[in-house]
Amino acid sequence: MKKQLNLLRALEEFDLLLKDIASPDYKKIGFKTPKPTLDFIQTAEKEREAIAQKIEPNLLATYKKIMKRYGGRVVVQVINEFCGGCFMKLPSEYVYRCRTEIVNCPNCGRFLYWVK
Amino acid sequence: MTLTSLLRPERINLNLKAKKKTEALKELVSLLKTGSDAESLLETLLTREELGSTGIGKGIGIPHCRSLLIDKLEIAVGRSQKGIDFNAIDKKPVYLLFLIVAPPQDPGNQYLITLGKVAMICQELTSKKRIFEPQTPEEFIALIKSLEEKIK
Repeated sequence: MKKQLNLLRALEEFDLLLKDIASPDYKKIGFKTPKPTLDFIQTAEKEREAIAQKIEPNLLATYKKIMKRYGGRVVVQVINEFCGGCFMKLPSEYVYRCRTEIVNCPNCGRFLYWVK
Repeated sequence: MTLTSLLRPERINLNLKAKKKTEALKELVSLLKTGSDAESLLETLLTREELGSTGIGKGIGIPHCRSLLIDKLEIAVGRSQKGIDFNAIDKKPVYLLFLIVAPPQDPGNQYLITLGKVAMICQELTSKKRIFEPQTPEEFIALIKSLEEKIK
């Protein structure tokens, strides 16, 4: 299950990457960012699809639902027993279980990710 | 927040052994000491590189990504004596690499601000002689500090 969670994390990191590249601040930095040519869009779609297709359909559906609701931060770190998304204190059982299983925050539904 | 305050001597390797992009990124990621998460972080960086090289030319590369695997903005620096084939925009070898990794939740968007600062400092580091001047990580930090004060 941890593998699936890592894929969800990778998918969100990829979505963040595309969001950053598209932001005006990123362009101001002076990076020669890829222009949104057909080639770039196709490469990006291919990269995203490669990650998404490995994710179980029900998890992907939840990912999309949370992404739509919050516009990001779908997979969040557990910070000192608090959900890194809504900052509600998590039951100890959840904090323990999220190290080995896919667990959603009981308050906001985000996927909880344990970082050592 | 200054760039100098984010640099730590133990995260600077002035003698990278890698000759290729993947190996170089691997060496840089190892400086962040993420343990078993290093492989995942490397994958994220390589995905970014697939979309366009972060080799900005003039021998400098700024690989960067956001990752849930870390909890605060981290920078690692690597320098190669022989140059790395980084598929840079000017097609020339890269000698100096700044790796920037930030968490997705990033108060004040420090990630893009830091990325901008590094890019500005790199404009001052155009000569190879300048890149190879520092002999120790501490000297490298001192060089960055002087450049940071210059561009203020």
